[in-house]
Amino acid sequence: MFDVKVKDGASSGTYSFSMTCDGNCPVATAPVQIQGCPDETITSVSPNIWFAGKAYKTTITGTNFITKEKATKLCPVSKVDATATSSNVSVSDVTVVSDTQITATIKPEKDSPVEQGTVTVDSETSNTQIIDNEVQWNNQGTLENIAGIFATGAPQQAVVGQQILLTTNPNLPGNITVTDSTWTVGGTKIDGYTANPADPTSASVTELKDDDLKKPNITFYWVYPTDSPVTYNYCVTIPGLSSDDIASKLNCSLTEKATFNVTGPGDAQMNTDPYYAVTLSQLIVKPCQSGSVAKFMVYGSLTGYFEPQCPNMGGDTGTPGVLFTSPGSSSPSGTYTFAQKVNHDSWTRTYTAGTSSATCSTTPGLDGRYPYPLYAEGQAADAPGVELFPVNKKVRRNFAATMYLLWTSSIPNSIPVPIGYQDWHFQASTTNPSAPTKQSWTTPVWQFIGTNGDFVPSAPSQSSNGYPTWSALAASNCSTVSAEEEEPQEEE
Amino acid sequence: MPKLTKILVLAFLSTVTSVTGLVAQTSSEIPKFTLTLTADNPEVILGSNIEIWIKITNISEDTLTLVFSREDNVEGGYQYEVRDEQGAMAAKVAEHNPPMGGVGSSTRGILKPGDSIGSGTQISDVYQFDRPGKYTIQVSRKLPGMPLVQSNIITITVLPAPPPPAQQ
Repeated sequence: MFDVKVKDGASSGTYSFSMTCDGNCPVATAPVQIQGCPDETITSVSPNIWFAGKAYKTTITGTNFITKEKATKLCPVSKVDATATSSNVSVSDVTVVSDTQITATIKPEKDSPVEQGTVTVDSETSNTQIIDNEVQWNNQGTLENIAGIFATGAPQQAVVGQQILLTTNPNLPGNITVTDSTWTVGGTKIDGYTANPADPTSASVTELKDDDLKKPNITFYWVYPTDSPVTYNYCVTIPGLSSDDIASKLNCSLTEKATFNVTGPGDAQMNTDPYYAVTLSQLIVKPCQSGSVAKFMVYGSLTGYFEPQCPNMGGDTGTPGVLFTSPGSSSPSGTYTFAQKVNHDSWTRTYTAGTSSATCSTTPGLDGRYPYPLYAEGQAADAPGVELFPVNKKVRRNFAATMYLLWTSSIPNSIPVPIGYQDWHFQASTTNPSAPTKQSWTTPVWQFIGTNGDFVPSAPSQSSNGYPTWSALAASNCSTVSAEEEEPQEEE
Repeated sequence: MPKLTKILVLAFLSTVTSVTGLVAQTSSEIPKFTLTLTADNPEVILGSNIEIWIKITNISEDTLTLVFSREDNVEGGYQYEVRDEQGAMAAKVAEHNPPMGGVGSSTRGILKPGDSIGSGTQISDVYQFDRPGKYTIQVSRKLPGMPLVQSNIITITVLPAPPPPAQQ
């Protein structure tokens, strides 16, 4: 008796078995049949595109796979493995269904980059593709890859009003195209704010629409400071996925999440200093023209010429009706601006001749300019008045406005964000009993004056997320009322 | 003077003017702000209100001090110039009799380096656009110690009013 060991991996076939002996004796030879393991082949792997972090029930089709029933000690059940260039791929639940089909659950690790993968059945291999999320964001004009930050969860720093540009760069092979992108953005965010000094016709907030969040790249602005989560995933067409697989989003990337720590100027307040008097003032109708001075009833007390504009013409004195002051500085760095809307403006004039009267009103809108001019560094002021014509025996004005404070980050391409607003108003009248022969206007009597309520911080719950919006400039119109009619009563 | 001589004199004067133009500007001659004029509607129907927008931008490194005044629907501090297709100045709108408007405000203000402010003016309250045709509009502003600054010129086309609907 003797033992014979067939070399591992020996191919099937007919071999010659020879036996000799020591000394001079004939050689005995006999044919033997060796049955080796069958040559396995892989014809397809389905699906052969895998998202990082997702588990795929994969079907491997080929020939000569060794099932449990056909397995021998020499030829065990076909073994499946999967690898990638730089990351791990797990394989589980391997079932050799038949000599032509194997099923297995294959899962590339979550942090796998876009790279080639390989499926191996014993010594046979087939290439696959691993794909992944890669997100970039525009931080002050440069694109920064934050795929790693998405993975670690380290928060990004952003500022209210800063332009946030998020782009995706999945770096997919040419044969794979993105079919759907889905962003979610926490916090109060907008697509834009249209107020523009070049054309203050109108100002509105452009909302970030659902469709915008389905684009591969998005641009938006956060309006209020908060920790704001951002998620992103995308889908592709992966051949071989069942409807159940698609329903399970196996054609889509994992939802990546990052948090942005959005900061702003904090609890900034706008201080309002109202002047508690309506006065009779000599004001310039045409700047620096000495003959153009006229008498006005003014909220506040302003008289004379603005010295830097009209040197040696007397200089201006007095106090505006309302003085708004923004916080001096801000952290993060930025600047404060003002915008004012007229909510109501009406005035009446009673004339001596024929005792007729005129009533005028203003359609609400922007108060002439955007942004509202600075009175001094960090300050805005208003001193609304009404000219007192000699032919008038009574003049009354009722004015109400809202001054908004906005803040714009120093980061390039930033837009203003609302900080808060202050309603204010005045209503006053004066009479000229001796009109038109004599100008003897009485001290104005005011019905209300100054602020109307407290400073209101902007909030997402407010209309247009707290932004001042308008569709036109405030514009006045007048009409003459017949002599027989009574003097019109103003409405607030 | 013979025609050729006239041409030579004009050419000489032109040369002198050009040479003069090479002299360095003094600081008081350098504009510190620009004016940009726009209109939302370059075409309007006869009788419509016409609004224009003036953007003043401080292009200097100094903070400018100026008066911001506004009366009725017109921004103060600017000179407005409207001409018809023949280049003639348009007629100004007559003041209402008895006077009715006369509301506004006038305060001092500043314009910091690089800052802009946009202002709207209903120019049809100042000038008459009472015939169909093209009108050119330009605004200018002068600050003490600085040269007059003029805006770009815009053209507004006033279209004839549509005929009233026919009676049934």
